[in-house]
Amino acid sequence: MTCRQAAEVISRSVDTSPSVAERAGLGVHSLLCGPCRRFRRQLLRLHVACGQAVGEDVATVEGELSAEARARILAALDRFLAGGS
Amino acid sequence: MSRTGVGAAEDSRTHPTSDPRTWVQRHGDYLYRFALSRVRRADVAEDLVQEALLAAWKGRAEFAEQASERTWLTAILKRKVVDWLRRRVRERLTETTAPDRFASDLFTRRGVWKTPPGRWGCDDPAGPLDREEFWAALFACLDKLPPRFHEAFVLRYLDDAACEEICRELGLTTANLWVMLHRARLRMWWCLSKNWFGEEPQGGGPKP
Repeated sequence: MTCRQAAEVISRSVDTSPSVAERAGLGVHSLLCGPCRRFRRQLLRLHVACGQAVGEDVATVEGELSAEARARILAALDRFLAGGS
Repeated sequence: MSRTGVGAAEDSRTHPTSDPRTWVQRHGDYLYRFALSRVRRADVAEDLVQEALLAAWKGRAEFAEQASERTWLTAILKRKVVDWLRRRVRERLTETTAPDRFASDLFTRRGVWKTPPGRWGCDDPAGPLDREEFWAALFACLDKLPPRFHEAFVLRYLDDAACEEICRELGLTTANLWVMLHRARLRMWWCLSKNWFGEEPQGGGPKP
């Protein structure tokens, strides 16, 4: 297994289960490869951080509803309320 | 970690059935930013906020008193965002996946790291000073992801099950989804190595 393949298996392993052969290959490769062990640690940390950044109720950008959008949404709600539901 | 976390002063525990128009006033900007961060298109974010508010009004009977109004609305909006992303990602997955220059440039032709991963300093991002900066760097890197990667990436972290569902629906082509996520992750990893953890892998490195 090359580092390039190892990186791919490491990345996939946080999304789904790699095959037994891939896991074994990665195990052997990691024993011998410091850079890939480090990459794995960093990727796991990235994974956890992304889960928090994307999954939690935070916004990563600034911005506010434009006056037009606000008016449109209010109009839609009004129509909806007038519709009696 | 947030500029607009839940629990802000505007958060209300009043019963939400009074007048949905006040939701727009109280939570409109918050909801819009939540959606915009994840879909990155103002027009789509606006539409999703509208859909979410209408859906919330229809489902107002399900509002649990113990949740805050904002948390409740955000959960509904999140489902709308996930649905939109899922459609986008599904469409992308049926396209064929071209080889990725970015990934190739990280490795030699024999598949060895061109520049081995550098040390990530500041190993404790929980330090109060580093924290804000860390999230800022992470958000900046997320923002730089090209749309196709961003959509897959955000969907994956917004809803674990969504990726599994796409896999079941599409069968073999789902390999593309893992590939897409891997490519997104490599970019995020590279970007954070450069912008936050300081020790850039030497060499110019690939272009995102």
